[in-house]
Amino acid sequence: MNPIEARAALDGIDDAQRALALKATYCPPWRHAAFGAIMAALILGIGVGSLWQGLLSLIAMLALVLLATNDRRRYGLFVNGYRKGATLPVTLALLGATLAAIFGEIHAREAGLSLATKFGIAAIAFVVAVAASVVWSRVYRRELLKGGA
Amino acid sequence: MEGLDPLLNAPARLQIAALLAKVTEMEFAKLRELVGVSDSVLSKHLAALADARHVRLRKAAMGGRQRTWASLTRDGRRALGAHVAALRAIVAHLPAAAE
Repeated sequence: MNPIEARAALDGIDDAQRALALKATYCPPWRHAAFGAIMAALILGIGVGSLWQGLLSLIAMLALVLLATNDRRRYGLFVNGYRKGATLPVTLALLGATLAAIFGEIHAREAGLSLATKFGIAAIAFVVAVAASVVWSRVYRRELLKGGA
Repeated sequence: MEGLDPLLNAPARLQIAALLAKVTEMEFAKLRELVGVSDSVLSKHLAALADARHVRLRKAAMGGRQRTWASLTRDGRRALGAHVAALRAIVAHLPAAAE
């Protein structure tokens, strides 16, 4: 293979990944909100106690499966959030924020704090998860558009 | 040239592997749309990649139809990485004006 052919092969990779970015990475606002709601439900369940925790976890898990199924049907692809690449720092930051919210809810439950406090922590978790979802999508799209193969 | 995988010399196969490297899995129709080849050509390329264990194929029913999903295996990811590195090494000999 000569250098011209090698350059053409690398350009072909960039073109394909750019096409993926342009044709299959649009994430509608409701999709970000749905992800945030699932995270908030999981967090709130920890604070409100065993019976509700079971119910909220079940609903959240079911919603997560439906969301992944919808992604596959709508886009014809699935991307694991824990993938390596430019998105990993965003995923790890969300994981850290989620752990902080979990500890916050555990503390609220153990200390017998009000329901409003527990809803407040879940509301913060919702906002953080929605923001992380938006940023993750943008970083993923930018990674695909950047090329550099 | 060390690192070059003969299987990935075909531009369409290289693009398929490069696309699958960026997702967990992709459906046949989406791959066909992005690579811009016919059903039969894509089937042949996927079969060749699957035979070499670069790609894993699975069938799943969705919307009442059987669909084929493809994902890159660990071996496929390694082969793609080595192939791209080899291509970059070849391109390094290309004069700047030609780039």
